[in-house]
Amino acid sequence: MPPLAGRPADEIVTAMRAFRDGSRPAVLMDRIARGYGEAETAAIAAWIAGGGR
Amino acid sequence: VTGPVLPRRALLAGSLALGLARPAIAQARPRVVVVGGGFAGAIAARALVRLGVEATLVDPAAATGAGYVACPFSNLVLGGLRTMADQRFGYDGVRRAGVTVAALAATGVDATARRVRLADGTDLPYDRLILAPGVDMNFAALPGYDAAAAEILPHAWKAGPQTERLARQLDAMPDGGTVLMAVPPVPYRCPPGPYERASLIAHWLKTHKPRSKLIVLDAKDQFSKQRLFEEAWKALYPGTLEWVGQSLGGRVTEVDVAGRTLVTEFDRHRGDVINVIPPQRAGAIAAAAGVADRSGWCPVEPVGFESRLVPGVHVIGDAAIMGAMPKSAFAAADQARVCARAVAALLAGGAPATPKLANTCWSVVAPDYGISVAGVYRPGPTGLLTDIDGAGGISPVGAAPAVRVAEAAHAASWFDGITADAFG
Repeated sequence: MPPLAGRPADEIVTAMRAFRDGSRPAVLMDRIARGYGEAETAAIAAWIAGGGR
Repeated sequence: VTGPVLPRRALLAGSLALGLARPAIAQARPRVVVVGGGFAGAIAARALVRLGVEATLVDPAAATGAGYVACPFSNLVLGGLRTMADQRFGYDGVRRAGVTVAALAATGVDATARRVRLADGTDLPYDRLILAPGVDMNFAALPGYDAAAAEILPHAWKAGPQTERLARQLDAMPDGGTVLMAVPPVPYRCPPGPYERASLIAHWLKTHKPRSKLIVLDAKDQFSKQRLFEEAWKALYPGTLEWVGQSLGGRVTEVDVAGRTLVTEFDRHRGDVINVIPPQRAGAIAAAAGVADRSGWCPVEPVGFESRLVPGVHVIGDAAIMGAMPKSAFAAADQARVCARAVAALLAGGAPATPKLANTCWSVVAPDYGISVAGVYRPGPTGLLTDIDGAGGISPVGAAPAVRVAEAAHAASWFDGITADAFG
């Protein structure tokens, strides 16, 4: 799996949205992404963009 | 929920020192002791240090360079796909991260005085305590199967010498032999683990002793990822692996060690190699600390995982009752991060944020064949962690081989990631 730390927040938000609505094919992330709303996704994305620590 | 506890002396000194330079003791950082250096404990201790809290990790496994032996992926050792050396992780990385490591067993907890007693008789004072003791085999639960029996018929449910013993026995078995596995009722560490193990022992038998057979005797009729396992077994191991559920007489009621026999409700099964996975309970320090209930496991509140029985003591990982969240290393790691934040908030006089947690359990059923179950959780109205509707679930049944290949790779990536988080 490619590391996520430092990826731009908007990229993460877009990917999570696509996993959630099923428009991006996934092996696992569709199942995980459906557990989080937009505000939570934004918080996760900000954390990852900041280095994820 | 109680606030941070400051030593009386510090409060007194602080109040007397008004207008003067504050004495050093009043500035002492809060101390957290973490008992148990597995995934939950190591990750919690490191997270606390990152949050500015002094953390001491207590585990006798830190006394030697060999360190911790990881349970996840230890079934791959039995399948001939990894070596035990790949499972060992020392505590140098934990020390480098700024955690104080006490390489001793914890033998008791005085929750009133807020002290942990160590095996050498010394005490470690704490402001808050995190217990992450994992599981102990419950040798009182299955007649005939005690600690001495486990030296002959290994459980291998804690990775280490037990895993090596079982691997040696499989190696020494003549081709055409019968391997038996006894699987307990829930709850136990790693719900899909017995079925991953059955898959990988079947893989090993098929590869090295193809006339041999594995019979899995199960105390239940339903299990984690059942449809995915059964799909894989039908495709990969017909004639090698036979699973017998509870309603078909699979529940083992007694172990006859001398006769190398498992006794079920309707039958007796003799095995050349016998792997008994017995019922389990929270690691012994949980009962000593008074945080385990009559079930043998530890009830906790679902926000910061503070014990419902003993204030100031948090319990995380396999030892705790976490509602819908299973006893897995992934879950333990997530609980550790949440608990560390909650403890830091409480020590600073604040309140913990309501968490959301996630888990994924991968099982490797053959080389390049992985399956998974995932979940997302939050504190529910019953005071336990509860599933978030619509999230989680198992890998698709009938998926293309590429999906199974990808999941096997994800499992390996996850193992590298979590061991780096804990011990790297």
